[in-house]
Amino acid sequence: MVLVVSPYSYFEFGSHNISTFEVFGNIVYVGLYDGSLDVCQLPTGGETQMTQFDESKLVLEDLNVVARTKLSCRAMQLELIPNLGYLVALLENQTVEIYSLNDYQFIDKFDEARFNLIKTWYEDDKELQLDQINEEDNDYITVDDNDSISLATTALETIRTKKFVTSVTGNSYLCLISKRNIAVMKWHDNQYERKYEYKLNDKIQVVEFLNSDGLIVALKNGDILKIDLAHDSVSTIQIQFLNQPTGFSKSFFFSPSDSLLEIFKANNDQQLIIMKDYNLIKLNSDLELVVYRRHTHSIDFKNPVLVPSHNQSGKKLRFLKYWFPYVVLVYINSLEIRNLENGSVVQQLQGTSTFSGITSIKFTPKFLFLICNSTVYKLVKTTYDSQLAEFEKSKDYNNAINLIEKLNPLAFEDISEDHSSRQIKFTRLRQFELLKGLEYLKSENYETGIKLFVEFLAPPELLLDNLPESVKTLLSGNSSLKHAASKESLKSDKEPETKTNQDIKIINQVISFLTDARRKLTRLLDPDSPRFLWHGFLISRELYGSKDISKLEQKLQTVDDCLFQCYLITNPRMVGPLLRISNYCSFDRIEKNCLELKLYTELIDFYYCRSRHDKALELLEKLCISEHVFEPEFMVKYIQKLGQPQLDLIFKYSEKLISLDQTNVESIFMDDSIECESLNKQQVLDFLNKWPSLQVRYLRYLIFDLGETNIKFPNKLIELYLQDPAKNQAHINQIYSLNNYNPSFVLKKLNSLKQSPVVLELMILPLGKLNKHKEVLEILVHRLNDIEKALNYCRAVHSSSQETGIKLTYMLLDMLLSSNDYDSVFQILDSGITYLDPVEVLEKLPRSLQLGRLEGYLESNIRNIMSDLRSDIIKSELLKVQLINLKYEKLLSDTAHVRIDASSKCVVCDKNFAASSILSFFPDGSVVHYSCSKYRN
Amino acid sequence: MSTRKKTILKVIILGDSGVGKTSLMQQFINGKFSQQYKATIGADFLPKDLVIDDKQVTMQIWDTAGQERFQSLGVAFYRGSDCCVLVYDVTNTKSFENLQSWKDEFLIQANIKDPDNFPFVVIGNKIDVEENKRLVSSKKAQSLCASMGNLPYFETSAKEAVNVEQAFDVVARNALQQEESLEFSDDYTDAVNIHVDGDSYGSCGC
Repeated sequence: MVLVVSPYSYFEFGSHNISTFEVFGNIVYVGLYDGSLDVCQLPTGGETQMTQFDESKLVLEDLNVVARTKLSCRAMQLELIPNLGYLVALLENQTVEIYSLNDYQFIDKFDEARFNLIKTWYEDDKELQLDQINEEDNDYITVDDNDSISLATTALETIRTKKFVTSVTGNSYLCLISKRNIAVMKWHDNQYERKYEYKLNDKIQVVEFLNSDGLIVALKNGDILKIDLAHDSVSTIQIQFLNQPTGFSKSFFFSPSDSLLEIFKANNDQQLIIMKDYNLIKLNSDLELVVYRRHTHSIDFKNPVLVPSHNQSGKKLRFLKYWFPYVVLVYINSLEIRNLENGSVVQQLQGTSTFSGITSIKFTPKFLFLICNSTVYKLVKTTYDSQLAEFEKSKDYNNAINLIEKLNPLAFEDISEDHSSRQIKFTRLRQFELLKGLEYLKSENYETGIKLFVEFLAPPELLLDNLPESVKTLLSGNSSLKHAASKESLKSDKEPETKTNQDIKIINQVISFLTDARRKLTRLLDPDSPRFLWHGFLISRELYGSKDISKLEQKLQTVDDCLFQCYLITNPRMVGPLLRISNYCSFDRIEKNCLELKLYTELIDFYYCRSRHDKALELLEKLCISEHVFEPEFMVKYIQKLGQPQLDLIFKYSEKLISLDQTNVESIFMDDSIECESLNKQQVLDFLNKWPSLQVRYLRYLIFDLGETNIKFPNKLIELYLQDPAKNQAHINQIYSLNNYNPSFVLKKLNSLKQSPVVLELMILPLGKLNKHKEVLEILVHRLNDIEKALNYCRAVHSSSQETGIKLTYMLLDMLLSSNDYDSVFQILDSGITYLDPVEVLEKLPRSLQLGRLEGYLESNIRNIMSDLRSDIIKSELLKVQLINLKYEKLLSDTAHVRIDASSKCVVCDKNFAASSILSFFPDGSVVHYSCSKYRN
Repeated sequence: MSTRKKTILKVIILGDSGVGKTSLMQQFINGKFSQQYKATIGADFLPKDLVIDDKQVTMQIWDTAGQERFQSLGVAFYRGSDCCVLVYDVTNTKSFENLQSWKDEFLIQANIKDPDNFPFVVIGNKIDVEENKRLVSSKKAQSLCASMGNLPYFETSAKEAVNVEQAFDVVARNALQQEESLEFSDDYTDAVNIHVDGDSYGSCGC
């Protein structure tokens, strides 16, 4: 049993019995039977561990009376309106009197009816409570779950708990109840405003303000009414229980009852509790039943909560009051503290016969007072830290969680300053939720336990250390069940018979935890996000026990190793995905297991993921080439994924593959991939040295497919092609056409070869590229005797450089003339060549040449010259016409004039010109003042 | 009162940041496209009612964050998926190369019982770009899809609404098939409820 409240002391009020007792802050107001009112300072001391109500051990405390006054008669109820400075007293004669809180002097009275209940409402002056912590807190419960980094991020449940009071209105009220009549007086900003009056159906039993605009009233006939002051209306509240038998449609409050009736607000103004027939019914601010609270992790939340009408010894319940965060039940011989969530007993305090004389109970956040004839007993609330410690000791985690959820974390004594209150709350909550989860594990409720572990980010070892031995053995990897993950089982869905279903079920739940934990731990290891928000709480590496990255990595290794083992046991097909993603699995362990179980594909993926390509290729070589487990293509595919940094490995393991099938060179070195294109081309070319044909293939790929511009590659390819020039002439010309090669290098290579016509032809373009046109002509004329090609060469040169082309053509003519090859000369002259000067050509020709042979050439040239002459004549005539036109225009402009007379006006200023005006004349004939000329446009 | 069940198909869209996951979803659900890029934070889902072979289904499409720092941390939301759409951008080689990782991550997080038969659909988005900007060829994509287990492959343009309907039609059909295959399996008890009463929520249908 947890000690929440402990008896400490009592106060005596002489011979007079107490008629009413109220505590407001540190002041006690005591109305006595003789009609006097004592105002006392509340003794604040008290600490005790008494678990029994033993009057002999109680301390007698003296009350320091600060004021004493005499009322008209005995006070039955006292209420305060501090902002107005009013103490309101309901007197025995059923009148209501108002006294000043300053000097307790009479102010006013209400005696127009026989009142039997009063109630006040005022808004707390926050400044008065600066030295106090509001113990109630609902930060955790009302956290906005839309913080999208967490969970499903989409608010699946949009239940938001609202408070009854949402704003400060400046309103104060005094309710005066007389049987079925209720009068409500309203003050606004301390000024009296108006009075509301209602006549209800039956006698009013309880009145409670919901907020500054409404109050709730319980009548004797069982009806519960809501009075809406803002709209001046009264409505009946109808609430049906969800668990009522079908067809039962009456209101729960339909039947009148004589049992204890209470209405109070709880849970930081979020719930209205109506106690009727020993049921505590929880309503939200919309006055609907609270059916489910998502954020309440106290799993056994109940609504309504049934409290016993009689205690264990059969004594009747006399009082029930809400005393944050519990409800206090006073029986004739005992006092009980119960949890409001599910009504479970937190503490039982055995009383004495004195309890039968209790007339009322009152409390402050720290003290509980039992008022009994002329004595008041003071009980002290123990610290929340000690309550939590006791809950933990007695393994009552639900109550501990319930307390933390509701409590302002600042109320804890041992709070560290470097954390926000929310953070402290989460840390405490997590501590108990994990302990609760652990209890679930111990009671073999693994599903619930693991869910709690997931939700509260349990350290992985906490779960793994607390699994059943059979599961631990399985997960250790030493079990003979490992064969389950062999290749055969990958293909078959059949579960090994030796595994128990229960263990498998647990392992499946462990998988959920591990996948979740690895995600969060991985995020924490990301240097960009060493912290993140989770349900509004800041999660950092410290939560998992260490800031040290290496320790977190160790945890991740534990998680991933265990996940690997879980998959081996339950679903070996998931091994592949796990090993392919970035993981922290222990290298040796995975390697050993995969090799044993022949999970080669998975192991190779793992090697790749860890960049252990040497190991992967070694294994692949064994499997693909030596043992033929896989096709060599499998190894090729692996090599395809490697890039420049692994070039040596690529060379090392490609050799055998290429020897096996030369087409592999295309897959390895000529694949359409970034990796392939990243390889050092020269090194690849050197590697392919032993296979010239593959070199050619590779070079062609580089030059024609990749458009490689480095000159050494075409040179190399030409060199390779020149090993058989006759066969490769077309290919070489194809390379020449790209005009990206070194002509000197090529010529050197060509010169080293036997001077066959093919070689000579192949020399032409490189020589031309070096502007060695004469040598080209000599080859064409003297060695190949191909005049037509020679002429074509001259023409080609002429098309790029006219001057060189003309010179070259004359050179060709000279060359032919010097060898007396007149036929070839005439072949050239008759070819329709037009860019040569016929005079110069004629001068070059020997005089001995027969004129008749020149006839064709001369005729053609004369035709051309005549055509040019006619064109020039036409041009000349056209220029003459143009000259005449220009002369005419000049004449016109020379004779242009403007006449100005006395009436002429400036087109800009519209004023006449004076004799001394300086004028500006424009070509269009307009005349303006010189000074106006700049404004003309 | 109808007792006919309405099936909810949960579909997750994954892929690198900026490949157009949100645009694809918006195009399919709302027929809209926005040029403005806005990184998705966490995840969000939109429902779309469809009729597949006379069967009423609601496809619940969960859009996710491509950027790691915005990714959802809870694995629970992957659970109970009926199909996973892997999206890459045809102008972004890296996004293509990461497809396998997205697939594996999904399998791990969703704790898929039968990874070889879980329906994935691959979408190459942004085919509206000029041909010379395209870096991943259809052939290459098809080859990868074949190697990842003959996954259906679609090339789409969320911008110009090309092939989006067709791709999601296959997604829906595959999801439905998956959902039906799991209907009688009790291995996924922690998954999102896959059936709710259609027209009369909460009624017993009598």
